[in-house]
Amino acid sequence: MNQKNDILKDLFSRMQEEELPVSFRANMMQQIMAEAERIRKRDERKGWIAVIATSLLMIGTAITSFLYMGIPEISVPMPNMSTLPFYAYIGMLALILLGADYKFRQIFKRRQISQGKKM
Amino acid sequence: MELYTDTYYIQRIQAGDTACFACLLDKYSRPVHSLILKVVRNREDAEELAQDVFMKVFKNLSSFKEECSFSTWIYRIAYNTAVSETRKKKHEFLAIEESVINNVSEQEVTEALGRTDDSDRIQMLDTALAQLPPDERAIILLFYMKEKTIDEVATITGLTPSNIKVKLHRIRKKLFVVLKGMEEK
Repeated sequence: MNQKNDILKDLFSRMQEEELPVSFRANMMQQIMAEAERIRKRDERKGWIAVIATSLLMIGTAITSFLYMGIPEISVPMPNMSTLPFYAYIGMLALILLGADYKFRQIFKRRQISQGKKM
Repeated sequence: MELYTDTYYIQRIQAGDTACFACLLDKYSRPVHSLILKVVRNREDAEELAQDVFMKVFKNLSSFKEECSFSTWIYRIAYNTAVSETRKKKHEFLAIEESVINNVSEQEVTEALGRTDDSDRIQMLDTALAQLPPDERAIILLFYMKEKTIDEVATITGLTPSNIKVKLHRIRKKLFVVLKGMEEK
C-alpha cells in the first residue's frame, strides 16, 4: 500500500478529533476513585477472611491434636484430698481473724474520734 | 515532550497511586473517544463506551504484560467494546459488488476529489465512512487516523497481518466507490 501519495492518508490526517465533554475527566476520575476504594475494601475483606480461616484452621488442628491424638502428652497431677479439711480449717481461721481485726480497728477509730471531740 | 512514559504511570497506579490514572486519561481519552464515536456514530453512546473502556483499562491494568504498546492495548479494548456495541444494534450497511470494487481506481477518485474543496472532501469522507460496517470503519481509522502499522492493527483487531492488508485494500476500494459516486452526484 503506497502511503506516500495516498489521498486517503491526506484526508484522514486533516480529519479533526472530536472534543470530549468538559466533565468527562472529572466523572471518569470519580468513578476510578470509587472503583479503587471498592477494590481496596474487597482486598481488605479477603485479607480478613484469610486471617479468620487460617486462625480457625489452626485452632481446629490444635484441638484435634490435643484431644484425639494426644499431642503433646500433658498429664495434670491431682492433689491429695486427705489434707483438704486441715487446709479448710486454717483458711476459715484466717478469715475469722481478718474479720475480727477489721471490726476492732473500726471500734478503735470511732473511740479516738469521740475522745478528740470531747477535748 | 512527554515527562514520563506510560509504563511509569502504570507502575505508579499498580503501586496504589490511583490519581496517576488522570495522566493516562489526559493522553488517551480524546483519541479513544474519537475512535469510538466514529465507529458507533452516536455521541451519548460514545461517551458511555469511552467510560467503559477506561474502567476496563483500570480494572485489567495488572493483565497488561507489555507484549504490545499501551496505546495498542487500549485501542484493542476500545475496538472490541465499540464493535460489540454496534453488533447489538442491527444496522444495514452498504453492499458493493465485487466487479464495481475492482473497476474503480485511486487515480479517478483523486481527480474527482480534486475538483471539490477541502472541507467538502472531509465531509464526503465522513459520509462515506458512515456507510461502511463498524469493524471496517475501525480498521481504516486505526490505520490512517491513528497511524497504526499493519501489525498493530492486527494486534488490535485480533486478525492476521495478511488479513488486515486484504481488508484495508478492500475498504479503500469501497471508499473510493462511495466517494466517486458522491462526486458524480
